[in-house]
Amino acid sequence: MRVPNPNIDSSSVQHKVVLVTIGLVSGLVLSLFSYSVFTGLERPHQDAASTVSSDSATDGVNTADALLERLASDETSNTDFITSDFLKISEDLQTVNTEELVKALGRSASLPYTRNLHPIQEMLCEYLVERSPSEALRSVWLFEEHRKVALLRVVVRGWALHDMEESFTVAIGLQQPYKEIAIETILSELDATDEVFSVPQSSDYDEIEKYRADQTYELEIYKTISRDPSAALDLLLKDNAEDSEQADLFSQAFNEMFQLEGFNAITQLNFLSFDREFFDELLLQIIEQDRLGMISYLQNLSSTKRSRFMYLLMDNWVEVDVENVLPAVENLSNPTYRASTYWALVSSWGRIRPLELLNRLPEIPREHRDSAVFYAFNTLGKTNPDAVLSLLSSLKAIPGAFNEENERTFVYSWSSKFPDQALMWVQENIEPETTQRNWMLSRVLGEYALVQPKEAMEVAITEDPNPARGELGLAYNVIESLASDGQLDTAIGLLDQVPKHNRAYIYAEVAEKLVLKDRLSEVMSLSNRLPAAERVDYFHSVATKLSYNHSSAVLTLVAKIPDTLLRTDVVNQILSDTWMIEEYYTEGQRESLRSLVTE
Amino acid sequence: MKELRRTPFVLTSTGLIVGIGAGLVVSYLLFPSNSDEQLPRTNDPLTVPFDSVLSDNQPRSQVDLASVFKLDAASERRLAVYRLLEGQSARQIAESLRHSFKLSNVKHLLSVQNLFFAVLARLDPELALELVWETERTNWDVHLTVVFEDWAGADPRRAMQSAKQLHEPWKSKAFRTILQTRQDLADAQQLELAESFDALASLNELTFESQVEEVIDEPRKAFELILQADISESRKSELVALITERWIDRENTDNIASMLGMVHEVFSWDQYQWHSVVSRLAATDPKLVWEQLATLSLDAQKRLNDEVFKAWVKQDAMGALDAITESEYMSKESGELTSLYATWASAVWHQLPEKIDLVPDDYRTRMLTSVVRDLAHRVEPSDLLEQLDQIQLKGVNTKSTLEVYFRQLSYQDPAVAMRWASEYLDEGNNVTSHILRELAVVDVTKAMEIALQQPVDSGAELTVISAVLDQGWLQQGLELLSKVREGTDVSILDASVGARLIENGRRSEALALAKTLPDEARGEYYLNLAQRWIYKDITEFLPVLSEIPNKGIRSRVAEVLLRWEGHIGNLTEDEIEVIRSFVQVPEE
Repeated sequence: MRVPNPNIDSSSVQHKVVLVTIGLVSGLVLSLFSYSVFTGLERPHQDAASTVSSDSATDGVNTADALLERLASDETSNTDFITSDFLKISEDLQTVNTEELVKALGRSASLPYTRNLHPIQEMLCEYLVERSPSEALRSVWLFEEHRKVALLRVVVRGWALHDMEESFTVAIGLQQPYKEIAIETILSELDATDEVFSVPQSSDYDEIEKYRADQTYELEIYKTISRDPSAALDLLLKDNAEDSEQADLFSQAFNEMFQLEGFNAITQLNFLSFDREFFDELLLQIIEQDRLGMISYLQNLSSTKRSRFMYLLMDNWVEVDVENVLPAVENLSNPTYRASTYWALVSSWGRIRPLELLNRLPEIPREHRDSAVFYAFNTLGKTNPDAVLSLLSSLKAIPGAFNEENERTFVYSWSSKFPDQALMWVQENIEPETTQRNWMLSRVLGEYALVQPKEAMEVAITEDPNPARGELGLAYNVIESLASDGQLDTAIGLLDQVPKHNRAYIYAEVAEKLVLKDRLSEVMSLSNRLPAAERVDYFHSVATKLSYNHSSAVLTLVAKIPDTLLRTDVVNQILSDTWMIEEYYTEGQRESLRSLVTE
Repeated sequence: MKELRRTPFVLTSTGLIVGIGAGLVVSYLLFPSNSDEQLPRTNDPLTVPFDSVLSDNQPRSQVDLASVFKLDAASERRLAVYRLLEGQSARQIAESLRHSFKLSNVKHLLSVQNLFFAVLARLDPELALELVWETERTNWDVHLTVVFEDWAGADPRRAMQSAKQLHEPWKSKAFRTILQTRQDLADAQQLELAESFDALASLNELTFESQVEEVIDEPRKAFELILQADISESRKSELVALITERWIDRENTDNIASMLGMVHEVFSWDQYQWHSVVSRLAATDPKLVWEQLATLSLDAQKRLNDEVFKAWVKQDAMGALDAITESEYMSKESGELTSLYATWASAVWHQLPEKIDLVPDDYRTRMLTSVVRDLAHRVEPSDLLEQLDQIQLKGVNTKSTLEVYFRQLSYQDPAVAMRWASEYLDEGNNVTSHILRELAVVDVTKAMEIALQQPVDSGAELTVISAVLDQGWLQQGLELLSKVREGTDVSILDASVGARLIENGRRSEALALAKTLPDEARGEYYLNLAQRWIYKDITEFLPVLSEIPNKGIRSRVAEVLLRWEGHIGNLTEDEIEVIRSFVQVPEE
């Protein structure tokens, strides 16, 4: 028998206790760790999102005031609520009465923004609309615009659930854009469930039906965009709706198509349509994604098709990134394409940033400098002629930059805004009896005539004759400008001052406009102011001008000529122009003309 | 000893096992698992029995989701969703959300998905954004707004960065949502944020919209503001439409003449925006609006009548036509009538052959031209041409209309245009050449094939080669030259080929080409080149000039260059001097 050793026993027990404890603690730690590994990994975002205890975030939210206080302090503590916080608030709000809800929602409209504010406003709105839709709607108007729209949707959705008919009546009574938003929201709720649409047959029925039809069509387009954006674009282009009113759908279809087909998408747009600005904006959406891609794509289009897109590309590029457009064009490998692209570039640059272009002219290849100056002058003549005058001498020193055509362009542009100044400059600076002076005066006097007709005619007569000028003389430009502008009586008043040679043609310029204004007796009077020998030319000139677009008017005019011999001569002259007769007259009109000839 | 050595192991193992067990119990009690949390806490409708939306073998969480749809009250749905998602990870929420994408015809699906997106956006906005594109396209807008609204609150810069990566129209929508949500930021901060991510257009739009809001019921001020605004034309149109609709609601049509007068005053020539206003005003009662329009100045009538007439035609095409044919109105403004007739004709296109007699002779051709421009994109060529045939049988001259149509069709589809044009246009019509040029750019083989079927004297193949050279496709053009039929005079292309050779730095070939030409054509060839380069960079042509072997031709080209320069003024003194040096002084 072994006698127990008390020393051994006590140390053994201690040893066992230590071992069991180690086992227990290790097991506990191990199991806790394992449990947390297997279950805790699921919650990393929650932990990340909740930087402050969620309990503290919603403490004491039992009344509207408490909630708002909590939100106000949240603004300073910058705490983001997590789902459980929202859950707590939402649960607490179940017990808040209507009055408190109205108060809370209203007061929340003026609270400073926090990330938690909007979901809580929506909760308040949801609870309130379930108890009092009209109070909820009233509260909505207290909010700033984008919140108003968001909360209006909550309200009408809740109202429709409560009483669909009443919700439509309320929606119809709203001002735009809220009316449309409200009706569409209600209809979306109905559509989602395929419920039978049963709006009462009231006077509002048609209006609601229209919204519903629009919404159904929109859904159809959405589906088509996802399936086949090209087909969707085609539908949009061919439907009867105004394209610009479907901007969002167009944008989605077009961008989707661009993702699938690249720049080929642009060929489907109707760039000849009335809504040119609208299509330009669509095109810009893809241009801005890849300007280099666009410039490369365009080289494979024909020049007629290309130009429409090229100007848009260049305008955009010059506006937003002028530093990169020049190297992009320089690097084009096809010299023909490069040249036409340079031309488009300087055109855009000259229109958009004319002074900057003139200052950077040496960087432009020589063959495009005169075009660059042309476009810059054309812009600056109207907006800043003094800048051009001050730059003239320095531009003349740059090879290829300056020529007489550009000088004329400047003067033409200048005279369209400031004809008196432009006229004075031409008279003082351009050598008399030169072609340059003649061309400039032809245009400048036309502009000047519109504001100072008598003075313009005086200058015209003083300047004539100019050996460099054609037969018509500057008086023609004065009369033509007045007639085109509709100042017919002023033009008639000045006709006596027109030099005698070729006056029949100048008189005809006025007479054509008189025919179109149904002032035929004056057309005949003008004829009487001409020598008999010039009258056939006069009537023939009038008829020729009218033939392109008003062949019936020619018949009316000719029939009114009282002198049968004169009439016959005029008709024979008209009939002798076979190309015009075949192109612009019907068979019946030709017959009528022939019947006016007296043998 | 053996027992002693074994005892600690047994004791430690026992402790370990008991400890593990205790730890698991404690863990489970203190930290219940997520799956437990997904179960509803109360006896609310989340426990509603499984219904037809889901099948029997679907997991529990999906059954819970199905039960949420049963809740009609939005507040109850929200509570249920929060309970469902409380404690769930982003991945789990995304999974449930993805499951919901497979559902259809489920009541409240969109609003429940929106709640899911809101919760997910708070945990992982990138993932939420990714999921937006997995939903029905119809809902992208709504979900995108939810995601970016929350994201803007948490980290506007990261949100802007993500928005910038999107393509339109989502990029702009996302920018708008972020900037709209963060209106609490100071102006300078908003500006900096917008500038940093190329979102200035969106910021401008928002700033401008808030200005318009203040005067939305003062149409003149609002319209003036819109016309000056630096925002997109389509957004301007939307705002103009909104202001007009409110205006009509307030004033009805009692005061329509002064309304139109004001539109005319404010919009001046900006037709793109005024058409939206006038078409809305006119749609209320087009006949009345038309009558009232007649009380305004002629200038106002001329600018606004198209839109009023269009609105009338939409409602009553024949009534509208009577107004311009039977009354004195606008009869003296014949220039206006063409477009009015065209508007009418487009609306009655299918009956136009029977109704063409209602349009006066003078307007028929121009009207038709305008109509085919309008319809070319919307009507099949065969249908359109058949109608024109019918109209022609009524004695209308459709020649120029057909030319306009084929020209337009050639931009859409030159092959189709060519097929139809060959049936309708006379041989040698210049529109045929135009179509051939367009076809050459998109399908040169086909263009050449068609060209070679044309009569030899048409020179159609030269049209194709010329189009190819004009594109700058020199090599292709040179290769096509070999296909030119005998009897066709290719000299017309010499200058074009020579110019392309010089442009491409192949000067010696340009000179060699001259050598192949007959003596009498050689001078003309060089003059043609000279004419091109005097408007370009003469320094590229001077080496060619210097190498012209025939001194007489060289001298003549130099002389002509100097004469042109007298009119153009493009050359420097040095360049003039060089050119002058080539002019031979006639011997005494």
